[in-house]
Amino acid sequence: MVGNELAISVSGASKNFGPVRAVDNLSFDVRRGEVFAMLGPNGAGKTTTIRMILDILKPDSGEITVLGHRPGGAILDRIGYLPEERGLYRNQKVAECLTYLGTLKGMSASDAKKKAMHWLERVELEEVATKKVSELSRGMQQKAQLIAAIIHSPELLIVDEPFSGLDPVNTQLVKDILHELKSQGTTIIMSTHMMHQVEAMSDRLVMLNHGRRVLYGTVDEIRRKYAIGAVVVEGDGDWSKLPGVARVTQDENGREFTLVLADGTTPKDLMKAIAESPEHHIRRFEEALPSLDEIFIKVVEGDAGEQEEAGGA
Amino acid sequence: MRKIWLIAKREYTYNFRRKSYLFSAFGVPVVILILVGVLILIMQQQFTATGTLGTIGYVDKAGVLEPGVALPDEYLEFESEEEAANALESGTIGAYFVIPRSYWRSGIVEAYAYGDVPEGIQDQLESVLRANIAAAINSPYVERLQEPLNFIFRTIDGSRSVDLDTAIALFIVPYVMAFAVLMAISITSTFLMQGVMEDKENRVIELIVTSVSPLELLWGKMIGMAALSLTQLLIWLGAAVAAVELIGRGGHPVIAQALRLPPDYAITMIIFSLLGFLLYASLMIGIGASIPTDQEARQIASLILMPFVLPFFFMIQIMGEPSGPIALALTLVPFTSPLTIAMRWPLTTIPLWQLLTGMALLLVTMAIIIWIGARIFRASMLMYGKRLNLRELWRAIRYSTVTG
Repeated sequence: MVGNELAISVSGASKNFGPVRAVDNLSFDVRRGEVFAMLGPNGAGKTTTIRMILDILKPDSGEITVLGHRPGGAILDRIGYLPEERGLYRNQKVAECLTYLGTLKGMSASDAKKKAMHWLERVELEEVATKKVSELSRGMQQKAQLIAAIIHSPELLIVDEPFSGLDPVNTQLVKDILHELKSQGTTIIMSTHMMHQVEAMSDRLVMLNHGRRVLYGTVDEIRRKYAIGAVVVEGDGDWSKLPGVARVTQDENGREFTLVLADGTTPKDLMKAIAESPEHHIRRFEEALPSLDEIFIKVVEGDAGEQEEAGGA
Repeated sequence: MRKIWLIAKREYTYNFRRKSYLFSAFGVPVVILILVGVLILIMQQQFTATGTLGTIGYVDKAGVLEPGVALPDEYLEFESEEEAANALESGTIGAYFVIPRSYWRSGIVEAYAYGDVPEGIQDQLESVLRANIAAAINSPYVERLQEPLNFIFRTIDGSRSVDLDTAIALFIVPYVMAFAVLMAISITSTFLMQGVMEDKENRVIELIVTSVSPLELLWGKMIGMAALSLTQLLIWLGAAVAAVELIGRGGHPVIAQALRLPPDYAITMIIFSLLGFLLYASLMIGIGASIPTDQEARQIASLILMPFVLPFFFMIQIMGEPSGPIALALTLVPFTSPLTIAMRWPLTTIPLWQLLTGMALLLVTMAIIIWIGARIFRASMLMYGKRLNLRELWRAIRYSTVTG
């Protein structure tokens, strides 16, 4: 267990609900200490996958290993979970409720109480500690819910749509806490359909669509793989006159131009051409890497992804 | 095991604070105790003090009343009606009556008072007159004239017997016990159903099942609520013992003796109501988990309670013939056994084999229902706002689609 560097290993997992195949032959690994994003649109099978990892559901076929063990049992105490369907005991006082949930994760009552107060202070909820959960605003409940997931300092933290319903200030607060946990060695799995939210935070990702894996790897790898052979420039001159430029589109803000390269032309060639051209002046030049949103749309529209390739990992 | 205990503890303390629990556990016994107290006070007023009239005057023209024969202290003799009338006017007496010379033939006694004459005075005067007439007749059987009938009910084996005065009490004990058992079975089970529905509604269930296994959760809830149900039953039984004590000290030791709670009866009923609770509670868990709307769940819950309540409909048959075929059948049927045994026990001697068979059948049914309830609970706990249809229910019972 100690030597095992994988926090989670999912191999060939499938899950059907009646005629609906929610998860289809899914495989991926999560390494210890990384921030791993699970992306995909609503209904892609993210929550079902999480529930299989957490032993709420059993896969119909395939193997899942969590922290070196089969899901469920004692290892549940080492996992923290922020479910998409948020919920605490509404008629209980906030600190009491969090303390109780902490004890259910194996903490002593006094330890759980201390930790609950510590985190309530950290997310600026200390003055509502003795209020009932039902009296909290939506954003406050979200933060209390996050505490319920991390109160027992889990080795593995699974957060489902962690930023939904949060204002920008609280979104940043939650991001800070997640960074802090990561720096302490916590493995974090983030599931979301808001892909731009996690682009900067994640080390690696898996992208699901209709229960199948369509992308898997590091964020950079994937973006590079889906590089469309184009560069983004800002500057002056008629860009279409440059050799090797097949097409020019002006971006929405009017300042940036995307230059699609002709076959055989590299960004380096174009850079050289611009440098040699007296008519062109350049302020910015970068390879046009698509955002995860764009990649996703492309993958889903072509329904291509990795399925055509042989084993992405 | 520790987690089952944590859940049980939370369920107990959380539900203990519910207003409806506090009312049923404490409110009902307190109300009953107060009623018993008031009743005793009223009875004492009627039987001893003859109301608020104070001293009663009388004028005996017929010479019926011999001094010293059964005459209560508050009776005062006057020589003439005028004197008595004056005393009434001045307030030294509250009422007076005149026994005219014609009494021996007519039996007429005239009463005078400003307000009502309590009924108790009539009874009292009647027994005083009777005692005096008996003294005049002077026969050894004269006592029978006063009290010709003293009915005694005996159980067939002669182990218990009651006279007419306490016969009513004999029927109160099984009735009250059956009611207490029914409440112990149903009230906290309903909380349990609501709790399961609340957990689903709050969505907290998803968090809980990633900390404990569904069976740990189920048993934690069951044990916590069983303890709560037991608490209520013990409070009620305690209140009943206190009420009997109150009646005994209130001057009715014979009735109190008839009402007393034999310990073996109490223990048997505690066991049967616990088993009944577990049976009904596991049905309630299944309903709470599979039916999304509160109103509908309540309707089905009260429908399922019907077989438990059935003995009340057969009360006349059970109590009239406590060892008869209907009583026997209802003792053996798992759903009806707790209340039926509660009704039969004080009236007959239930053979041990009947108790044990009833208990065994209840246990087996309970185990099956708990198993089914747990399956439904596991299959439907994460289906929010959705009702399981019969096919899905059957599927849930046959296969475990989720983890144990």
